[in-house]
Amino acid sequence: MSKKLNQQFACSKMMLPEHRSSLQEHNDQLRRDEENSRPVLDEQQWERLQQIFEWALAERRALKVTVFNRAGREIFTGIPLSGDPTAGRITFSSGSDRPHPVNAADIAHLEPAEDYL
Amino acid sequence: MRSKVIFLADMESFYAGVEISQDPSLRRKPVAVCGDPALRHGIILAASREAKSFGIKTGQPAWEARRMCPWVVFVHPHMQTYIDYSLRITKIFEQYTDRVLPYSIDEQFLDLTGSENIFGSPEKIAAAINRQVWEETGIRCRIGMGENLLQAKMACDCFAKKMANAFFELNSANYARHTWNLPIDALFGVGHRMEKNLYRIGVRTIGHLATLPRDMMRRRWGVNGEVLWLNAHGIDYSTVEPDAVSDQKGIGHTATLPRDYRRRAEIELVLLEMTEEVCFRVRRHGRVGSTAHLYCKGADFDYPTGFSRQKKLPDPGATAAEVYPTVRQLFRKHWDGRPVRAVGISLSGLSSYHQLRFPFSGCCGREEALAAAIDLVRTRFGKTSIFKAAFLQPGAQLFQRAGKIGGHDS
Repeated sequence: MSKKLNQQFACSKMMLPEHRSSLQEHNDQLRRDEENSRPVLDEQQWERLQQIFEWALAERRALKVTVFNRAGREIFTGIPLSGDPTAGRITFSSGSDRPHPVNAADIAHLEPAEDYL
Repeated sequence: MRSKVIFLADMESFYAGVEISQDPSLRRKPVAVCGDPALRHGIILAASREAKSFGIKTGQPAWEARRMCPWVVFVHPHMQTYIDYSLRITKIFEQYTDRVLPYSIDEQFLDLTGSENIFGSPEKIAAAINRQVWEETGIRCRIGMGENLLQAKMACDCFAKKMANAFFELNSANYARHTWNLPIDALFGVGHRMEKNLYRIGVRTIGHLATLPRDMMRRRWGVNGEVLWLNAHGIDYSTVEPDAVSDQKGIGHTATLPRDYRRRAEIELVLLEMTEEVCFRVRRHGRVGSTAHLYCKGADFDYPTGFSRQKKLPDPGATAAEVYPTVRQLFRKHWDGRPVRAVGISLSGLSSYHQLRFPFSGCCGREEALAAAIDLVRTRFGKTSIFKAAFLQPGAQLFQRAGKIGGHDS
């Protein structure tokens, strides 16, 4: 189907180049802000993360972990070593000598890291 | 399926509104924004509500506006300020939905489907948006609502502007009732030329067009005819895609010359300058173009002449050395020797630089390295920091165009 038939307004848009680049900059900034801001998770998503964590802890499998803390966003890959429900803290082994402790509340995303060696 | 809620918000007398917002002493005065008459930019770009009440219209020459209202206040345009205001308004809209599509500097589409649960009925949302835009920018906006972008645009252009509450809703159930009696030029997509064509086959209203067979419209005017037929029925498949901003088909520039250019050499000089400017922008987007398009408008209003032609480049390119020979070839082939008033150049068929930058036969690495170095200097120190010596010749436009946006003062 021709683009005009599908998107006649995109085809007839009248934009000054300077306006277009300001908008582009604004959209890029929004994207960056979104990437760096902590997503709000609902109950089902928390449950899913909990399942992934328990599976990785039991099977000693590596996880790709996305954490939002005061320093911003951090992504790392590590095997969960232990979870302390009272302190709300999870310890990961991330390849270095020292274990990597993380506040459970700071975790925004967990997924199995298949390519982890 | 639940129907969509699409708004088109149109800013009333946008440029004039911004000027009044910046200088409150202009409030309640007949204000007209217009360029410099000495440089043939003495055309009204926007008129305040008060100026419009004297019959002053956008597109009118300044002298005519002065005759209609001797105490009209002329204000020079400030394009960067208008862009900043437009972006401020986009940010207000983004508080209501993340699906905002700026259509021009003063018109933006909003997809508010599903927002009723958070902000209330569409009428309430429209009133809240109107109030917020007014309070934060001093600009009045009018809102047309529809189940698609076309209905919203028609609702805004044909009705909302005349309503006391600056809001009007069209939907699939009432579209025909409200629009079919309107003259054909009120239909989105019908310009002067199409209006004449349609008149010739007896089409006077939107309703007349709607009764024609869709196949006939397509056979006669191709996809444009089919889109008009769909528009007459209030059908539109467009979507509000915020990222469509980056989806650019071509990059180009047009300019009205400060006087009529008669000599081939001086017209070609301006073409070279504009080719450089267009190529600079194409490179900045990390693209290369494959087709050059040249537009030249004759100087005589009574006998409109000029041409608009395009040609594929031998190899995709983004430097003046690669593009200009084709532009010059187009000009020499199609120029009839009559004085020229306006020119435009664009590059289309854009593709990513990396996709296409194999060692083509005509492609010269030194030219590219030179262009990259010049781009760095220009980005840092401005357009006039480094240029071809030829641009110092009489007739060159580089210095006049520098620092301008859309041909007007920034």
